[in-house]
Amino acid sequence: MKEQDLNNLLDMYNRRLEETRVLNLQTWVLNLENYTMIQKQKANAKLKSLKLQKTILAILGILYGAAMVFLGIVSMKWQTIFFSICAYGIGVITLIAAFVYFRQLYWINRFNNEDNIISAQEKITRLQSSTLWVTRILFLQTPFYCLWFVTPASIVNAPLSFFLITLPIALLFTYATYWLYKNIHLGNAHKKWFKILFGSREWTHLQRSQQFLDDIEEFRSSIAVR
Amino acid sequence: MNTTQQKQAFLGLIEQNKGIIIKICNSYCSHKADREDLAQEIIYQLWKSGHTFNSDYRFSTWMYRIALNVAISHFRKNKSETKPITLSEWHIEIEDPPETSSEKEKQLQLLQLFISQMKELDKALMLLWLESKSYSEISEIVGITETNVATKLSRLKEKLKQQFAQLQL
Repeated sequence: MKEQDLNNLLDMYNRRLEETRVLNLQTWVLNLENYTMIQKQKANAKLKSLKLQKTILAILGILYGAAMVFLGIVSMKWQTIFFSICAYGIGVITLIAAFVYFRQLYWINRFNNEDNIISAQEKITRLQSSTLWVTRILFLQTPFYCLWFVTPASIVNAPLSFFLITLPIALLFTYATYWLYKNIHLGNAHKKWFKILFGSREWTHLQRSQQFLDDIEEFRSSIAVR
Repeated sequence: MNTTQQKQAFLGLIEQNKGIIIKICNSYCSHKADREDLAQEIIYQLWKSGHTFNSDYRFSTWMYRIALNVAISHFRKNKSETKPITLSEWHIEIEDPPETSSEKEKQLQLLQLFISQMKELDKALMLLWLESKSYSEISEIVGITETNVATKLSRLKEKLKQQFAQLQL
């Protein structure tokens, strides 16, 4: 097909797009108040529950995190060194997760449809995928929950079973935590274990987010590639 | 200005620019009910954002940004529910179809199908180009450089030509 033929065809397509009869814009504008009310109710309900959920999680996270850090600091003695480190670790990680929730709330409040398309769509997609961040960070707490009860004295006097059961379990969880921290990212959203971990609905959602981020990246960098 | 006057002014603006909304809806939705939902959503978002319009920018730029952002989000949200698109589904319904030869009509349907298969952002670019927007305005709406707009558009047209060539049309 020649350039001119394609241009003529595109022109015809363009005119046809405009000639369609499917829309009744006038009626909708005249009924705008009703529609606005319905949409507002829908949007508010959705946004309110999302905001409320994130606010509660962020506040609880701060309270729990601060309490754990406090416990870690006040119990800092040689006899309870494991407990202190674990409490401190759990507290700091929880505070970071709470910070991520606050950052998400900030993004939700700042989202604007009037931004250019790339920027607006990137913001939505990044917000959708930032759930991964929280999950990833919260997993880091796991080894601390396996070791908080250990004391230096219990290690010295420990029976063989301690080294055969507690230690391997703690090591296994530490490795699993490290592995999950390294591998939970959008790039792995297509894998089976990811689907099991996040459930199929969230998985589809995240997979689509990754696909769209790739599209944005490709779209933006197409000049550089050639 | 009271609400009725505001609504009248808004209606005027929508009337002047309704082509934009209609084209976007037709390009992003294959089913009539979806197109209507999308158009209502776009109008609602425009109405909601009306007070934030900055007169330093062109009205059409602002309108395109909102309408395309709503359309892309709507399309992505409903993607999993969309059945595979067939040629007949993408045939745009019009009241009095202009007379075209069956060969041209076939080509037109194929073009609709090829455009419908484009990625969301490519489709937005093609739509803006069809609207005869300048590269500078397209770049402002989409958020990429003018050079990138030109290169992307030429590649999209090249791809369309290849798709037609493969079918020997």
